[in-house]
Amino acid sequence: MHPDSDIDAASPIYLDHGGTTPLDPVVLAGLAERLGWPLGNPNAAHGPGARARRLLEDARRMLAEHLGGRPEEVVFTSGGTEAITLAVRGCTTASPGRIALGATEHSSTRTAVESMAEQGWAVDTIPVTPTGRITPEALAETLRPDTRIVCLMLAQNEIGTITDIAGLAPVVRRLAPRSKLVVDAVQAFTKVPFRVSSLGADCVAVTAHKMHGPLGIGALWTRAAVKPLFKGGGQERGQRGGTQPAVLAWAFAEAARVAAADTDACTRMAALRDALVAELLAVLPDATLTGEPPGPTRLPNNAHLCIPGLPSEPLINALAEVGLCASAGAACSTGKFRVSPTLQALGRRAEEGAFVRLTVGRFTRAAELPEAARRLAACVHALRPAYAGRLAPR
Amino acid sequence: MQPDLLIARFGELWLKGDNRHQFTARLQKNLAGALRAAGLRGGQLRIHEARMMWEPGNASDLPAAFEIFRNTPGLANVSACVRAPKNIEALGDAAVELVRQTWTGPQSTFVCRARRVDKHFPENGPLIERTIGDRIGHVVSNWRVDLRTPAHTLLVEILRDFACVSATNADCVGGLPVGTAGRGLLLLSGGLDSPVAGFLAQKRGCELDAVYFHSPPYIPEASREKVEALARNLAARQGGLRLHVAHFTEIQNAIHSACDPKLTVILYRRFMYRIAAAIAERAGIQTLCTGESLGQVASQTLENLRTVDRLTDKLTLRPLIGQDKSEIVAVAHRIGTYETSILPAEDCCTLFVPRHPAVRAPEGVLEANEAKLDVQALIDEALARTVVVQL
Repeated sequence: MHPDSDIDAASPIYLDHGGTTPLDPVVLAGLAERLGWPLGNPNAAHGPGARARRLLEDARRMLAEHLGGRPEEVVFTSGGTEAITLAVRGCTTASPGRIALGATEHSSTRTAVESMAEQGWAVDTIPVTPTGRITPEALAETLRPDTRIVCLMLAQNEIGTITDIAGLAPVVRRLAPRSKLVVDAVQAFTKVPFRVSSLGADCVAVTAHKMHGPLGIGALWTRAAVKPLFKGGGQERGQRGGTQPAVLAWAFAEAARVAAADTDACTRMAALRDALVAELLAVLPDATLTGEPPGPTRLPNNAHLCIPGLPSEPLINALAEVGLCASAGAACSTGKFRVSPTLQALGRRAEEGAFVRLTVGRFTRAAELPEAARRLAACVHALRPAYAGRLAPR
Repeated sequence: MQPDLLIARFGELWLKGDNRHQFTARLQKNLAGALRAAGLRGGQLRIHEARMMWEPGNASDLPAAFEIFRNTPGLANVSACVRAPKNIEALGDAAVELVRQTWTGPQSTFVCRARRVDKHFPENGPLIERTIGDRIGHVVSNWRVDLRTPAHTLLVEILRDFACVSATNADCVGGLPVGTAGRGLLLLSGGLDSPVAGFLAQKRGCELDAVYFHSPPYIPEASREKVEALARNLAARQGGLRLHVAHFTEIQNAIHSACDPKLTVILYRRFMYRIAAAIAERAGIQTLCTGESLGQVASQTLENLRTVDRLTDKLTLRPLIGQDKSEIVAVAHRIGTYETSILPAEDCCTLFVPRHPAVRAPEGVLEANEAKLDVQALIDEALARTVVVQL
């Protein structure tokens, strides 16, 4: 009997690993054990404090190793949003200058940059190609000599496009020599091979829960010290106030270790993703893949489809009802359908249909994919009649 | 010095005749339920000297109970009181200390008011006001006395059993105790209007059930959760509420595929009224309540309201019929539904709706469109799939 033959129409299928991932059982076991340890405040002088400090610093060392940097360059945060915000705000200079950011940056980067705009910083958006790539030419045209911060993402969260940061960094250095390059590697970490030391970036943000680690812990790798968002008790070498959650930090590093040890995980995920796309296109022949073709320029676990003839939101609701977890790149507001800022930047329009992101994980099983495709197609076919002729521009 | 007694006065209830005790008893029951639901236990609630009084089991419960009193229909106003010996000196001492602790904000205006129920008390009302007013005037020496519209009132009450002072007084919602005017079924959406309409019906004594029309998968679960949050607000005023979640998807599909798009909204509403009337009938409720406001949208013109009214012999209350949006918003703020109502979430009225819906739909045209549908089967299915949530 095939080990996956237990999948039936009622089994929940989780294909939203781009949203968050289930905790790896190995990480969970270690985390649960350590939560029971008599640990003190890692900044305290006594024995329990020292034990917590050791755990925290071991985590920092392990994580730095997997990132390809030095331990003292790692600042633990509450997650990716805080890491990105710390990088953007922590790199600002006293007198306002210009910030450049990619057109498809995550909302955490966009809002951090917008908050700087309120303080007099000028914001330049770097246009992307229809598949979400930033070309050296587009970057060069956007940069100014007084650009102080450049924000790019290593892997795009919705459509999975991978940006060649190492290739773009020299352009930044040449045309905006006084700028800091801030990189969002939240989706990329453990799925795209990189070492911060050779990326050419100044700051790189990562988070644990996108790689089968726990929620509530992230980190910023930073070449030079950044100004804190809040000072608190001066923890993390003055860059991030607040008592460090040593056990969560350990679990983050452990998740990185476990992911790295699973050496063929990316190949496996890519194969699963390719099988999923093939299944989906077989049942929905008019659907199209958004973004880059599968390969080195696309996250191995990301599939993002445009399905004509219906809007995104009811499809996602319907998928939720049939136990298929996916996410939409669009939202509906009082009857008017709009695509996400990322899809807008690609020139996509809501009238084209439903945009659906399906993201596999290390624990996704091949047998889940035909069933996922079957449910998606069933929902699409059930909803399409209601929207016949209704997706025209309003 | 901490206030250790709430005293609330009855408003309109006082005009009731021989059946007044039925109203006050229901009010006492409603308050007891709301206090219990909020986890405020161990206090003593009683009607004494023609007032509703509550002594907390724990003095720190008083502010939460004060808010419950403020929002419970049937009460005119409420005071957080400190009791003092029944002489003008001791009452003045208590007033001075209470004001010193309570009126700590920026410069403002105040007045001292006295109510002398016990006519044996030697000083009369105006004399009490002058004497104690003078004393607290020295505490808040830079505040101005304002007899007409003071920002703060120090109230001295000389009751038969005891005397007290209060520096924290507020108007309550007024009206009649929920449950004294019978039961109604509120057509509840996630918007601003219907929760306010429900509150106004409750305020006049109407105890509510609510019905919400849900259209999965067109409408996300978040919309239903939002409606449940609004229903919980109404439930708190009457010690629980039954929310009937009616399944509306098939009806929308049928109307959308067979009927004139211009009539979509008014046809939705006709089905909603029919379903609401059937749910009300099953629950033994004779009255519907809606958040309609005359002319606010196309489905709320006189002509269109009339076509839905004729579908049922139930009385339909429309407490907002003469209200502007700004007036509705003000009440929504007051009762605490505004922040929930403005959360972005679709409701089924916006689905498949044309840009220019019919403002006046002749009944014959509506009936001709409905003749293309199996109206009774659609209603029966929606009723069969209706789920009741006890909040």
